[in-house]
Amino acid sequence: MKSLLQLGLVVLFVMAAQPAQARSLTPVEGLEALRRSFAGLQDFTAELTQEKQLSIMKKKLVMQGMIRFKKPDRFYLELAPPYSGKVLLKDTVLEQQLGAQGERQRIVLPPEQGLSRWFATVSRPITSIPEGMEVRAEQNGSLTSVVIRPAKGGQLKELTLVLQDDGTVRKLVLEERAGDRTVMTFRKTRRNIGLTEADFRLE
Amino acid sequence: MILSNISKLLCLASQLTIRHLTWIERITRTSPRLVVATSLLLVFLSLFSLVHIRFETDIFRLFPADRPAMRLLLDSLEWSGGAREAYFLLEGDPAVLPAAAERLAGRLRSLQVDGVPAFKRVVYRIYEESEAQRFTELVAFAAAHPAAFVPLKDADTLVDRFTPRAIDQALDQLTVQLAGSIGASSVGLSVADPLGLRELILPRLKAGSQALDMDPSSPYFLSRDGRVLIMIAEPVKPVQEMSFARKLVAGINQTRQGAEVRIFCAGAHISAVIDEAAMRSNILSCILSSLVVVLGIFYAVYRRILPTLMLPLILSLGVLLALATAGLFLTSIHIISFAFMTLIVGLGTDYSIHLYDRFHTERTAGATTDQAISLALVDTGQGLFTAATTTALPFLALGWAEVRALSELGILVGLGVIFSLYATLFATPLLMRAIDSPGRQYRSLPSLGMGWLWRFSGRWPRLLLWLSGAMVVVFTLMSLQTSFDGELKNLQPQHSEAFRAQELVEQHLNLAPKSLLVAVDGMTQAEVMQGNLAVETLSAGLAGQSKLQAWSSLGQTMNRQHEQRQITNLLRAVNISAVNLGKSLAQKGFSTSSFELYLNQIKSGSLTQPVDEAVIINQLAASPLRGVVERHLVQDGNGWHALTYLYYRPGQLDQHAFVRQLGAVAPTARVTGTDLVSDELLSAVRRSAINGVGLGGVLVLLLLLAHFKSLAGIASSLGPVLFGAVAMLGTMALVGMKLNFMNIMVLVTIVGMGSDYGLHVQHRCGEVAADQQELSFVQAGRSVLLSALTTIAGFGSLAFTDYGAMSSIGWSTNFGIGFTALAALLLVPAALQLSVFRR
Repeated sequence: MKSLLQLGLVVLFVMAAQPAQARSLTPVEGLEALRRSFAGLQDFTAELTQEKQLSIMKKKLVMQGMIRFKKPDRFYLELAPPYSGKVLLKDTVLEQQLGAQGERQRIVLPPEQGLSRWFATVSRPITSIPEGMEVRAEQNGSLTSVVIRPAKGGQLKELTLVLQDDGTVRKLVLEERAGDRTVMTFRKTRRNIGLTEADFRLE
Repeated sequence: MILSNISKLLCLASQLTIRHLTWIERITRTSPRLVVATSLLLVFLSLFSLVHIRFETDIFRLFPADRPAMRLLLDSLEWSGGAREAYFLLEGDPAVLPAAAERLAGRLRSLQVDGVPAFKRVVYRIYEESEAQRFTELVAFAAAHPAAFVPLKDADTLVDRFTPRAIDQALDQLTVQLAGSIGASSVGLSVADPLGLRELILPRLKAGSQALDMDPSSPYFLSRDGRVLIMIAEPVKPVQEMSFARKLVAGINQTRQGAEVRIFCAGAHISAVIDEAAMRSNILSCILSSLVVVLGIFYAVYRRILPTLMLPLILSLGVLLALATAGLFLTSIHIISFAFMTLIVGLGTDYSIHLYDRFHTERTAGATTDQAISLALVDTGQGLFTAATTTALPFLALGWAEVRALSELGILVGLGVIFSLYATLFATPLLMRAIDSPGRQYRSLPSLGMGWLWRFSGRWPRLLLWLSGAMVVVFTLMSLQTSFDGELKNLQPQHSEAFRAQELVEQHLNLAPKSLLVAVDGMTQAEVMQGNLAVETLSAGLAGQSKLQAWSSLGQTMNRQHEQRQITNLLRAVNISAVNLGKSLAQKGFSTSSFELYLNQIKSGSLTQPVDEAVIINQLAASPLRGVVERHLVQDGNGWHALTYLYYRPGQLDQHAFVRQLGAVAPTARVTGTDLVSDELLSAVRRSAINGVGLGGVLVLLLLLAHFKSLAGIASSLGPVLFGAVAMLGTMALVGMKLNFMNIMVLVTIVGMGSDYGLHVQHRCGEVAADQQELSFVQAGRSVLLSALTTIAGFGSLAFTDYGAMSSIGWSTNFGIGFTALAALLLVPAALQLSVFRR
């Protein structure tokens, strides 16, 4: 499940870096273009709305928040009440505090699940689609959407990204095999604004 | 009457010795080819015996395994896998340690021996993602049966969790967790435990699963300072299979080449294999260096090439025959015992020195070759015979020592001394006759200051003896400060991997500096769990009195029946309703059908019914926390064993009082710990020392009595030994050296080795006219000095070895031999020049 977290985050950051192309892309071209654009990204921040439809809940969870990212391995997510929570990932060290009175948790991930490892992987030129993975990309006006179906066996069934033509990510959709679905919509995305370590604290 | 019989017996022994030596002189003169042929036959038979001897490297075979504490220690190594598994300790920069571990694990997994994978499994993470489902299942069980795991002290908190308000808050928190986690990653645990009861359960389970003080937030077996990471690998075959183990170690050494962190490999048996090569080269370098020094000393004084080159031949023969003879009644010989060869180099050379020195002296004085050989063999030979026997018997007396390390060493050195003597007695005459010619000129040998020493000691003999008496008193007072080092670790090679690995664990990972293990044995699981209750109660009591740093048992990780009943009684009073909980879930927007399993369990009374202990154990054993069960409950061919671990600081727990208390509450329980094992060894060594000193001392006394038939002679032999032994202990105290399980035996062996020096001086000087004494002393004293030097060369090479056990023997013996030789060369002449000591 933590792999899923990393995959989602990486694709999210890559999308944030990508200037949209006004043409159809083959899967390899699409992913390679994302990789190239990511090279120019140092950091970014955005406000988000997250909608979760979980199989164990009748109601949809809708929450507001913001995210921050800084190369090579910093990520921060903060959700506003009533679902207030904070998640900080420093490469392999995941710290989170869920709920106003929630206990602070610290988990150290294995190196292969570290953020830097994932970015090192996607920074290499993409010449083929990984075995078992399906990728579809389509252009719809000023929006480009990329749908990724990872190799079978994991929890993640499908990942959909919607990008604006200025390269900023607009929407991220996670669909899982148990029928759980998460939609994250981003706005006010700002790139390369000079985020510092002070922006990546859980306090 | 008795005295008369003893006197006759002693005379007979003396006559038999002379007749025996005369026979050797005759047979080497008249039938040299028979001697050579017989020697070759013995060599052949010895080589045949040698190839059938099994050589061991397992360090644990050196200690008596039938003692309770040692037996349990060895059992625990089997149970924990310590005896069969390989442990890798990675030490380095915390930032690179996990990645280095990942690379090492990959290499170890792909390592092959004889074309098949070398390891069954390689583990270095506490939590593997593949076990997420099993972990969720454990949480589901624990949440449905919280009385099985929630600590009794948290019972009220648990009960409070089921009030309507608390349920409301828990479900709100659950919603927040679902919202805050990425995707649906927390759905599984939410369904298993909607009320978040795992907060009260998991800390206890996690604490119980940790045998070492590790970083609780790390997914690895990582020390809290992040500098040491442990990896466990189980080889496909037992590492006691030496050919497999050697190939495995070669492969391991390849896998860790070029690593950016330091990687140590340990494990009870595998580290012995790893250190085997180092031990071999260590012992070999000791043998070679001592041989070079000994040959150098011999040549420097006698300036003869062939007699010098004869020494290695004689020593090799002595060693070969000793090994072959020992192989007849020892099932195996430990590699460490090979160190005896260095002692033979030192001790065995003495006989050649004495024999050749006498031969050379007589030839210089104008005797023919046969006359010189006869005088050397029959006259000096008597002294050598007594000296060798007095040296060998105390060593052989150690053969009855309960500690194998000592008994093997005693047998091999004792036999080596005897065979070296005989090799000298037979080989020297043959060589002398072969290389000598009537016209050969022999120059006078250097006196090495012996003439001056004789005159010096004769100038103030009383003063010297009184001074030596005063020094004995001073050394005795100093020796009272000598302490005993019971740490077995300090006997190991100080730079070995096993030693370093142990130090790393102590510095970075130990829960406390000291620990005890208690085992309750029985035929069924229920029986040992029941029996262990008393141990747990005792341990809990001690922990309550702050006499323990920490302790763990299966009962401390899960609740026993009586504890469960207390909690279920409290929960029953709350009247928890599955229907109401279902309603609360629905009100908070949850789909109650997703929680059907949990709700059904509550409906069937899971919260208020104690669970059978076997069910809880099986549940834990099937989960990623199975290590908790494996550490505390073991089944082997002898039945079941419930284990309790106690950790404490030095001085915090009176372990002897604990053993007494344990005996009172659980009479059949077994207990072990390094201190208890040390105590067992110490008492075994003490018994061996007392028996050795007693038996060896009596034998030496009888031999000296047979040789001298006078108290003056015995005093001349044993007086220097007394001085040397006391001075040795005093000097050890002065330089901060402690007695240990190995060097304490020097107190036994020094009696035999040291008595030779005074014996030779007394033998040569005591029976000649006063005007001839100085000349005799120069010859005997030179031999004694050279003998002492060669013995020191032999033991000295041990003193500089990396092996703590051998090093301590080397230093102690060198102190003892040095002072004994000094006393023999200074005090015996002084005594001889006093009229009361003259015969």
